[in-house]
Amino acid sequence: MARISTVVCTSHSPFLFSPVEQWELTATLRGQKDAYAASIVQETRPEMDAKRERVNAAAAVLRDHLRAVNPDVLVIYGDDQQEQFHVDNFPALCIYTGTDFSGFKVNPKDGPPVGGDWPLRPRTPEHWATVPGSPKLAKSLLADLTQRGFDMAFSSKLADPERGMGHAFMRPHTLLETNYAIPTVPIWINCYLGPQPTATRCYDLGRTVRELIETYDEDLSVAIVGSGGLWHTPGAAKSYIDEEFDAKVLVGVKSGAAREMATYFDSRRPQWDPSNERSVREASGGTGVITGLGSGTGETRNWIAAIAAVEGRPGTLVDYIPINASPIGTAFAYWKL
Amino acid sequence: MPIVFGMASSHAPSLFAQTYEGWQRLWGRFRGTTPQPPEIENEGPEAIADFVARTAVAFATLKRELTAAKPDVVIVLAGDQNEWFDDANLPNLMIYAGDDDIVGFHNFGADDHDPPLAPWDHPDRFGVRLRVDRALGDRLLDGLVREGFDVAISRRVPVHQAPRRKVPHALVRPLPLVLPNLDVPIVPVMMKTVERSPAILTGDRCLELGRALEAICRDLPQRIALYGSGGMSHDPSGPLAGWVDEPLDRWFIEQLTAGTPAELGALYSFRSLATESGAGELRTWLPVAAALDAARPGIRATLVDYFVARKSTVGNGWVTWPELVPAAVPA
Repeated sequence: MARISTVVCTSHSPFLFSPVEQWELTATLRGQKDAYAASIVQETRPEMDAKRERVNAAAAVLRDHLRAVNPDVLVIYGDDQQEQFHVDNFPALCIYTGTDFSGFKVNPKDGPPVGGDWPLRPRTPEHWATVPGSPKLAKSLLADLTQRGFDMAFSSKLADPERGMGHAFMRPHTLLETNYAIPTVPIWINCYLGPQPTATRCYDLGRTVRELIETYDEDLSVAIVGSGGLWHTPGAAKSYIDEEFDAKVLVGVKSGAAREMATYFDSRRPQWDPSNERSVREASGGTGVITGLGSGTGETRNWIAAIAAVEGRPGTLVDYIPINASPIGTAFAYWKL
Repeated sequence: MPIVFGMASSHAPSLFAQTYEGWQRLWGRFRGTTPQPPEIENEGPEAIADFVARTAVAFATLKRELTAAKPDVVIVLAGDQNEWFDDANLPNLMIYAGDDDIVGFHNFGADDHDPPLAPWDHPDRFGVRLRVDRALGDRLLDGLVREGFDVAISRRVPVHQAPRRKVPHALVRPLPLVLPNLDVPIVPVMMKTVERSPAILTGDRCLELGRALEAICRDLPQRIALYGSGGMSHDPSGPLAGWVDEPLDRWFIEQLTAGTPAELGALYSFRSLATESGAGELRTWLPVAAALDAARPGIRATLVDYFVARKSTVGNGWVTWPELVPAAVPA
């Protein structure tokens, strides 16, 4: 039988992969675009340096942990941001069943983590990698989840191989330095476009995936990864960090209270003003339908699905590092099982 | 206004041919290399003429009853066969709720021609434009996702995987025959139907979908009709091409006319050549049956017609349910 050997949750912000000079540049560029709420006080350079060091240290802890666990397969919960999926057919839940997938290790563009006309990177080994899939496990999960009442979409090949697999699945490999060699089952959760699945639905998904892995008839060590979050609203005006939200999520991490995390998440309604077209667009991911927390914060769904597999077991919070230049609350956690 | 009316029908290509020659051509295309059953001998020109006449009456009956129900919008449950979707992103459920009309082709009479006409070469003759009720589509997406249905979102008509056919035939072929006129908008609810795999909606899930649709529509102001497009037993170009599972079809119809749709939840709980391929399209009838049953428990469908036409490779059926909320009669 297969077993879940660990759960790892990590933010995947481009700031984690950028030198401090680019944090500074981003702060300047975003500052010119009304991107920060009054509550966001920019870090000084020494503060940025210190946070950059903490990010490196947290990533090293996760990397060492994953190396020690040495899993056979990663199941990554992540989201697509119009990398493979577009508004002609954007799945709520989708599983990748292909033999492998390729994508940019961090970003297709060579520039600071802020929108701009930065040069495209070449698809060379420095920037581009191929990760093996795990089609047998993926197809089994696809069939069994559908039989259990999850209306799964599937993808057996990337719709846009030139753009490559989305960052939510590539960056964890980069951060965790897997050498892109651990076979991976990507599970997409729609986090951005309204209407997004409730966090409760994502919790149910995570519980069911756990059950299916634990009854999967192959001797596999499976690591589950939740990719993204926590609070951030990239591209929105007057962005801030909702520290209460992040704190509540981290309480759940430390106790393994996945269901409570989902309930809390679903109790939060996005802040938007129906008469303000821009606010509706930002809160809904452009669709005009507001159902739950979206934008980057919506990626917390990926954590909830992952943590549902270890519900009730306390996790180790490695660090929580708010980066005001983004602004984002980044967090790093793992479960030793 | 809740759901006011429901109906379902087959949409086999032969049903849109008017001549014996047209039926023969389509039979040649869909039987493949599968040995044909002996009953084929009985399907000569007279029998086909009878099928053609019955088909016209059956579609006209659906159109008459739907028109009488005065729908503001029709929710259409339909499958896709590599028209909108491919394996890069194949949904089990998807709703199109966009501003643009759906523009494709029907095939009425295309195969009566010698040689057959390709509809996409004659857009003036075969073009179909379907209006879409985006607001209702939004309500369905929002309501279904809140209730734990994992519905893919579409706000732009999908990039066509079959660029010439453009649009699922389950929409553009039968709808011109059954809509009161093409100004009545639709909301397409796309369901995976014909995949030969276990990664496809169970019967119970299809019934749950119908109940959820009914609950969402209950408090809406429009008069909403439901139409399930596809089925019944058929396996075009497959190992059972030309063989129709009439007992399966009769059992299915019996549950609808007896008002016991819950029995149909078991339909796809096991794998069988009899329920895969085209017969999988009966999934599109299940939400209609469940929604009507939720609106009025025990409501019985009326069988408009059913005939096995082996040269169409299909068990062809048409059903309607009684109008739930009578349309106001002008004083």
